[in-house]
Amino acid sequence: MERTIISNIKNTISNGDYFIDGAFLSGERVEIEIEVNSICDILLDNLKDIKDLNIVINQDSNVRLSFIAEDEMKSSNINITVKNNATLNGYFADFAEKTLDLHCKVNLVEEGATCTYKVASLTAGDDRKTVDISIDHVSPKTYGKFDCYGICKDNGKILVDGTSHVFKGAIKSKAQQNSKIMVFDESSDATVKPVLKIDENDLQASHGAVVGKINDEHLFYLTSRGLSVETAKELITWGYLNPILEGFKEEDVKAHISSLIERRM
Amino acid sequence: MSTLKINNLHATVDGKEILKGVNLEVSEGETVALLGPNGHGKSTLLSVIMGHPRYVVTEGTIYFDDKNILELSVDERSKLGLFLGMQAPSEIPGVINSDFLKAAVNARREKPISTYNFYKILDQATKELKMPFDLATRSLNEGFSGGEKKRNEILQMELLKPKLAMLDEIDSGLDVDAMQVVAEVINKEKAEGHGFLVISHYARLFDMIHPTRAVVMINGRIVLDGGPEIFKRIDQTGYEFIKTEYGINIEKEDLEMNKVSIGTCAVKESIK
Repeated sequence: MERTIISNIKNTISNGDYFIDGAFLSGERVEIEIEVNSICDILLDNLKDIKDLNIVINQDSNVRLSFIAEDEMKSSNINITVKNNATLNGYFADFAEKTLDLHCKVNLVEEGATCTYKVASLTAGDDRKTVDISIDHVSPKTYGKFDCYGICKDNGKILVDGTSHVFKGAIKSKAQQNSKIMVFDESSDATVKPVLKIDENDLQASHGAVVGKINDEHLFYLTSRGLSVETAKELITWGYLNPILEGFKEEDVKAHISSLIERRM
Repeated sequence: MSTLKINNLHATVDGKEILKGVNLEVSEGETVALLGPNGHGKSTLLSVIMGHPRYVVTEGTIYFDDKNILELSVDERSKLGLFLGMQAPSEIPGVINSDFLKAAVNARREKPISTYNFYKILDQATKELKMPFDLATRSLNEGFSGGEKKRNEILQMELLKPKLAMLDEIDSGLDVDAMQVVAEVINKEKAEGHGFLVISHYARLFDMIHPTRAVVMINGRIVLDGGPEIFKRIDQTGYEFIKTEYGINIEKEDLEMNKVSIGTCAVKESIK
């Protein structure tokens, strides 16, 4: 199926595949509303050139939002509202260079709203990155899950700020966070803040965060088969970041992301 | 000559001495059974030969192919022809088994192997080991059963053709049929002149691969070096005869409590 290019500032869309080129909508505040009971696949590139992106996902719709960061990305804001029994599956492949400052807020405003959000991030060579994802559980029986896998190396610095907020009244909701950042060298620095704000009693919530160096046993295993330390690290990096490709539909986009990972390794 | 020569080897882990003067020579093409009670340094010896960073060599030498391998990195030791089939192979999420195997094959070649030729040798090796081919396309050892992990170790050995393969309890987790398959691969490699240093607690594997020698490691030293009759005797009577006949006291393994640390959640701040 061909992707329909979104080139308007205000859009109402239904079933189908869509492409948003941020460069085309430079400096604008873009609004997208997904009609009830739709299945959509939205691919977003060059987000840095959009000022704000606001998405409303209406009742019973299912949306995959995949986006790639490859250049510098200063202060980008995404706001997503998920309504009754609608689902958002977000995938963010972050291979941006130098600066990345992403703020994404997902509001699960009505009962049964669901959000999963996966991030793969490679921070290297003097990069300074902030990935701020917050999921607000406003209504009962909402589900939010945030996973972040990152590699930080060569004087890179990254802050992953994940906040799950379960509001009063959002009973039987489930909030999960899981972040793992592997730091390759002493010059690099990674901080993960897995914040849970809980204003309700009847719910499930969990958060886990690991920032650590490469596993010595893994490195030994790979090098004991003749792989150099550099090759072993590349394989581990690849293995860490590669699963994000599942969030991208077209083979040429997957190949492009693969080439970004290879270039930055 | 691809001879392994270990002389007066001492090694520590976390400041505790495990190897206390190991002397051992394994000649080219020899198959040696390495025996000994639990916790007396057998696995440590193999890890130290391979260059595991956790162990610190405090004294002694290890030569292989007339090269001082203590001066070599882990990958250089591998490329020299050493191989360690591990007791508990690492599970590495996301690293695809076949990508890893191809990288390991290419590490030994000047020109990278073509994808077609690689899959041809991989297909042949997996068939020999009666492994499902899909194991090659899964994450390295992740979700593999104990037996699958061990077969995957032998698969790597088969692809890399080391001059000396050190196998650490490769038979644990294998059923009788799988052990037969593994033994056949080992015997094939033996026929090609490759050497083996094999740890096992059971005579069954040794009955299949016919070691030429058996050495016994106790208290961090090799205390007995002889023919295959040694592992047969140990299999029947245990290690008690070493105490009564050779007057060597077998030290008990020290078991320490694991250290536990409890961390705190991170606090809010931004990267400057």
